[in-house]
Amino acid sequence: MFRYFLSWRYLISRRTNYIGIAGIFLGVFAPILIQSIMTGFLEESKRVLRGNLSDVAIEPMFAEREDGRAVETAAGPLTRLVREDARVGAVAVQLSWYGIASEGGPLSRLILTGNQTGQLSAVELVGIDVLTVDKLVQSIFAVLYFPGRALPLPPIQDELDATDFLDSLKREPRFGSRVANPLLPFNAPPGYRPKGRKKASIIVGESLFYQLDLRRGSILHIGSSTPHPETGELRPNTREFVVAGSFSSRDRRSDTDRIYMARSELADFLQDGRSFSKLMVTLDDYENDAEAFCSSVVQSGDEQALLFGDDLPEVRTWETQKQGMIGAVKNERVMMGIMLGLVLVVAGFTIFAILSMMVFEKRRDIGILTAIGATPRKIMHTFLLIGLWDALIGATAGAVLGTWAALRIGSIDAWVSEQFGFELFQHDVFAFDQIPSKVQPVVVLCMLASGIILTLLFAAVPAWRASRLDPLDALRTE
Amino acid sequence: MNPTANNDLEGEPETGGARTVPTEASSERTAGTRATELAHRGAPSTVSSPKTGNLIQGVGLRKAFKIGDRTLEILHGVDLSIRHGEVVAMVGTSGAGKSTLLHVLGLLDRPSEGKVLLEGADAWSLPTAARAELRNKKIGFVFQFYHLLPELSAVENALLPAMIAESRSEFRRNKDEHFERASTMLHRFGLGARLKHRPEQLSGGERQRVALARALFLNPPLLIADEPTGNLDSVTGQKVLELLFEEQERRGITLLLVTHDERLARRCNRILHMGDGMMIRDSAIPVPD
Ligand SMILES: Nc1ncnc2c1ncn2[C@@H]1O[C@H](COP(=O)(O)OP(=O)(O)O)[C@@H](O)[C@H]1O
Ligand SMILES: [Mg+2]
Repeated sequence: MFRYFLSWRYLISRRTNYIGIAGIFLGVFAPILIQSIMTGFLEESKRVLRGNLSDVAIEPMFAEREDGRAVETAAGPLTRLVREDARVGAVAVQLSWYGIASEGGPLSRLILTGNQTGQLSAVELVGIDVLTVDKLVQSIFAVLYFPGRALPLPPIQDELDATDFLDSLKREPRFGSRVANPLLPFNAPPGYRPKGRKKASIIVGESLFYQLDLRRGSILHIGSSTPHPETGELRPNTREFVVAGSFSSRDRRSDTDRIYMARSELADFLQDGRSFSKLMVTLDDYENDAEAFCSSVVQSGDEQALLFGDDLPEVRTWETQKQGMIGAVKNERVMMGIMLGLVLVVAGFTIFAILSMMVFEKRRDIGILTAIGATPRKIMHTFLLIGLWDALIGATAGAVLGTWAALRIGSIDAWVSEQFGFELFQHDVFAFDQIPSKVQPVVVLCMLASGIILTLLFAAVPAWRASRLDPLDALRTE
Repeated sequence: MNPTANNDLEGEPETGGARTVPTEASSERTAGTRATELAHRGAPSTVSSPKTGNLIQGVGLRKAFKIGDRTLEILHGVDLSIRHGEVVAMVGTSGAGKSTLLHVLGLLDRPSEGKVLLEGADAWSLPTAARAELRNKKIGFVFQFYHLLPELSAVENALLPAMIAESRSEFRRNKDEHFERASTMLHRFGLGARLKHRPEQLSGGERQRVALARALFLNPPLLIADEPTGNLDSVTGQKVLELLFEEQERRGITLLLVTHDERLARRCNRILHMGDGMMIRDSAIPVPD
């Protein structure tokens, strides 16, 4: 009994113990908070980086293969191949090319060069399918002719199924202006009544939209240049489009240099004989299936001459497309984890030092306890228990407050800015509105456990030494 | 000390059974039973009543200390035996080895040679835990320098042996009883107003009384006191000694007391004279009639 009683009494009567508790507290608190922020940052970055990418992009290189066959340039066969795969959720076809955009007036030169030659601003022209009307027709057809049964045809899928494009149309833009109807994004903007031929609609990334000082109904001049399908000779194309609205993908890059239009419009504009450049594929279970799916597409695409093969990166998950950035964040998280783990080790050493001091200071007490019947084992337990109380108090408080801080980081940030007038988190540096944070229960439990275990390990040595003291050394003198 | 006042605070052991509150006496009977069994297991020869015969025996006790590469023998083969209920004084010049002998007999310091038989059992051949239990229940030790735990109050110091003896659940069950007993004891020792005081808030005499309460708390059959008044002025020391003898008489326990005071030694049944690590004389004091 005296073990609990005395260890607790020693704990509270020695101020130095509070330092140990504070050390363990920090050693558990900081890693939980920082890891939560890093994890949140990673997830948020992934979301931001992903933008309007799908899980997997398949982008064949259209050239003559080594076996003499040419890679199929129609989207149909590849689309069918992918849709046969049970792991696939949705597939959409894209056509893309590069061009330059300007408002076609006196500002053109400035806009195109960004005020300095050598900064020519190219835009990515993306042609996509939005087949809302077809889907509607198909479902009416299904209800009328196959009530209560599955349609004998595969359901129609488009960009809105395969990517997050619809979200980027619906999201409240920071600058820019949403399209009138996200489900029919390429409808002419309201109030657009041209005198001559109706211009095709485009949707412009919000940053570009802002830079070009556009609004819904503005006319945008797009120039491009494509090789002739037979001769390969470069030919210029220019055309005017009407701006239907902006999109906000939250991926900075695509918000600054992407313009969407209907795939048929882009093909018509480019006049280079291509109708597709890649397939956007969404998987039902991306985390588990991505790798297997990619390799099976590579294999069967190669067999059927739908891909060029030869180890070209034609089939890529969105993460491999953005590998550099994600890798950096992940790596940083590991580094932070290691560094913060050191805090705990330092806390452990503090406990070691404090307990060693206490054993030295209490050697007379140890002698007395031995003299009136305490066994060396119980003496050891007493000092281990001091370590355990330190650990339990420090680690529990660290875990609870760390979790709390990680969950409430937004309000803490706001409070700090308000009280001290400085921004903890610079909102415009990162593309996030809030400090991202995601508490992982595993991390919390691991930190709690390692805080306690580590403390006990560090307490073990002084506790063992206490049990080995000769009681008489302390009792002979005053 | 006023012996008549004590009866108001606590009944004598004989009348204790009639009281409703658990008294010192009632729990004293249970304390130490396990240790007794333990001691008896190793001593099949001691079949006679434990109240007669030898309580503790030293057989050929030698103790040597290593100082650097030299060994210095302090005890040169001491034999002694002390019977149940005896009151023994030990005298001798400073450095004669009295404390060393007491530590060996009190199971605090292992002899280099020889045996200590406590109620017939060879105490130094027992496992560490069993010996710790003997120290806890069979021997009360009073040191010259009090040796109280500075973080604990007087009451807590007094009941520390019970705290060591009992598991957490046992102690929780008996807690009130122990506190009651410890405070009754301290009241009787004249520390009624000092129960919650820390040792640093107590005078030397008060500290030694708390130490005596602690040594007697589990009612051990043997009380060893090593110059208990060595650090006190003569008046205070005298009062502590009165208390010591009074308690010995109340409990009928065995007392082994080191003192320099010849007059005091004469109040005992027997005087052991130590000199230079040897027992030089063992004289019985005739009971004055
Ligand atoms: N741990 C030790 N190491 C060396 N010498 C010791 C030790 N303990 C006691 N002594 C010596 O043993 C002798 C007897 O000491 P002690 O038993 O304390 O005598 P007493 O109590 O009779 O005054 C002294 O000379 C003392 O210096
Ligand atoms: Mg001495």
